[in-house]
Amino acid sequence: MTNNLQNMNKSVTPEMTKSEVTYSPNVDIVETEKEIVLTSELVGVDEKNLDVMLENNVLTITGKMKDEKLEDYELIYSEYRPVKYERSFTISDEFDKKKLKATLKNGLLTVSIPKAEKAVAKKIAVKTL
Amino acid sequence: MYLFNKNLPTFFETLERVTREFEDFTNNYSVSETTAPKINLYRGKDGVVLTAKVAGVDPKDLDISIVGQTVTIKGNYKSEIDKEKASFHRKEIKEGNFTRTLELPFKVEVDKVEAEFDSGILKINMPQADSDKPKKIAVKSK
Repeated sequence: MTNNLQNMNKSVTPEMTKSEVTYSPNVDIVETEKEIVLTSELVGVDEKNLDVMLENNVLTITGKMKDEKLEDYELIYSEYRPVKYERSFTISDEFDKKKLKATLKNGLLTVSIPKAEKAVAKKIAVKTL
Repeated sequence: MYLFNKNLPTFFETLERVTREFEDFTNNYSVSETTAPKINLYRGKDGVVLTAKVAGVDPKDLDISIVGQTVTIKGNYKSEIDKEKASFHRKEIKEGNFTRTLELPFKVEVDKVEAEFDSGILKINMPQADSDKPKKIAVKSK
């Protein structure tokens, strides 16, 4: 049991220690011949409240949804509330992280990373003798 | 000598895994999430403001119709990915058509409705129709 309690710190996800409500945003990760494209759903996040960080091999996306308060209006029915988004991804050396591109449009963040040249599959011509 | 095999997952690891699998399951199969956008409703003195989370929808593809007291929002979550050339590592974002219908407690002044779209949030301002507002009736005394 003591062992379990000691392990608890390690196994508990970091989200649980946050003071704000933090969501892990939905993502699509798609690989094509030349690049990998990550699309993340960050509703209500604008450029100012968005951080895309690449540290070593870890890409971290954090965003904060704009507060929706309307003056002279009272919230009478609610299915969502402003949250913080955070999610991290490990990116392998197969990708050229220096050429990472990120765009934000209609609440979707798209991050594309081209494959490093050495990782692009090359077709090798076989000579017949 | 250990009572349990050290290689077996600990109780906490198992608990975490089960929790994660359950979350994945509910994320993928929750009907409301895939078919209808989540909304908030605000009441002001002249009417209501509805906000809806519609990420990834082109504002041009949004269709808002108001008939009497009923508001309907239709749209399409479009994916720009060429599925033939790409392989998915993860697919969590929903796709397809959605419809959400809402009945308001009053008639809407349709000509004065304003809708805006900003970073995935649709905001519709719907004022109450004058004909539907309560009227103060002056009482004559004799």
